Amino acid sequence: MIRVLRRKWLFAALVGTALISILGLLGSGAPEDPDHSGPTLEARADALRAATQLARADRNFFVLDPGLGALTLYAGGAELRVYPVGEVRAGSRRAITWGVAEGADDWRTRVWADARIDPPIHRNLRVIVSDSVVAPDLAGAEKWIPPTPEEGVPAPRHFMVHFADGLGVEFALADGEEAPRDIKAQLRGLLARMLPRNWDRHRIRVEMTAVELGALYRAFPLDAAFVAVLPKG
Amino acid sequence: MSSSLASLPRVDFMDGGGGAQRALRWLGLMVGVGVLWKLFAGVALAVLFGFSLEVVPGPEHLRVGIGAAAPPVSGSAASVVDSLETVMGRMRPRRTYIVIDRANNRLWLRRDGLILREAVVSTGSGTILKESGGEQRSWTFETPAGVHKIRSMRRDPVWTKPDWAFLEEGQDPPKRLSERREEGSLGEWALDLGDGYMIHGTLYERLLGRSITHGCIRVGRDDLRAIARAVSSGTQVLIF
Repeated sequence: MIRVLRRKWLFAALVGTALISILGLLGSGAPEDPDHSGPTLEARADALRAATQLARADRNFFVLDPGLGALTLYAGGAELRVYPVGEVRAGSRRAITWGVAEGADDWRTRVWADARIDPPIHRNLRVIVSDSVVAPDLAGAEKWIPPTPEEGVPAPRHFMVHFADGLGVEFALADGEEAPRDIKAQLRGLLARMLPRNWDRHRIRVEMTAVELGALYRAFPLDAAFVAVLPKG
Repeated sequence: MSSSLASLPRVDFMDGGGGAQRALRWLGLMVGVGVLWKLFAGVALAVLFGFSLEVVPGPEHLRVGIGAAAPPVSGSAASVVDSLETVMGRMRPRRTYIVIDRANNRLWLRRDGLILREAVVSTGSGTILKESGGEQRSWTFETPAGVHKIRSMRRDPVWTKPDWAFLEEGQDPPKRLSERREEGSLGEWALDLGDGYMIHGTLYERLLGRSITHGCIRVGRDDLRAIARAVSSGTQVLIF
């Protein structure tokens, strides 16, 4: 009996190892560019062209430049904030694309717009009512101390920004970065990812530190366009 | 002693344990099947719904771009990028400007792509005040996003309290202007952004970093002094 069990466990272990290997190969995508060629000048020129047009139109916009390791937020021509970024990956959905928004072929060079953040930030509005005679609601008003931004909206482990035409950016913690686990938020994120409206066709994944990730999540302006310096595939 | 032990009935846990063995075997099989199922499901989901993401070369692979030592590129392509970067550079504000991040309560003094000073500030709380009687007005205490300019700068400002400042404390707004004036509460400087919004000092520096104001931007004393030295009327204030 023990022999039979051993054989079964051995078989299961072999199959498991094989599957994990396949999963690893599939998950890792293509290997890194061996000659370290970097973003092409054409990609940089495309991004700069888009950025100058957005700046001329006095728009808010992000420029993601993996070569500089920076995500920069602009208002017109003025730099507002630079978020340092780690590894950046970009690519498209592998197999099933039915039900997924039609992605533009020029997704690497176009301006991404109509941002929607997921999970959305819900702020609790505080309403106080004045009463010039007794003011019962105001007894504790002066003592009220709001939380700090970090306490009020803690850094998530990752968040998504979905743009029009099936384009999405996933912002995630860099390897080795720690953030408190929020099981409820993770479950909500899992359910949200299953909604068809959140199915992207093309995606960029950006890794950041917990501090930068939290700061970006709290302040992400949804009216901002998004431009990335990505080499053409 | 040993004889008394030998006389005890022998308890063999394996005796008659065919049922236990079968249960153990079934448990093992179920666990194995469960593990395999998870692996198969993981692979299937990854293949069907996952993304094939390639690493975009980062700064360590940088050959072209700002800061690159020797870009190995053709002259014409490089000149296109150079000219576009020059165009972007020309669209930068020429003078020192202020950036305020409302969600994180931070202020930066910037010029030519450099940060001259960073400060922890307080911005609008988002609280809504509703007037229960009278005109039944309401106020939302938010710092307005967008592009603003410093309209004027006042040293040792005196605050003329608006109606909401009294209503919030359960008082009737006074008719006389002199009863609305309050000295010291705005700190050493008030930089007027219009519509009643200001960058000013505070008596409550311990609350800096929290969204607690009525829409103004409160700054600590030392930071406010540095900002007041670096800016003037017309300086851009960009709030996001």
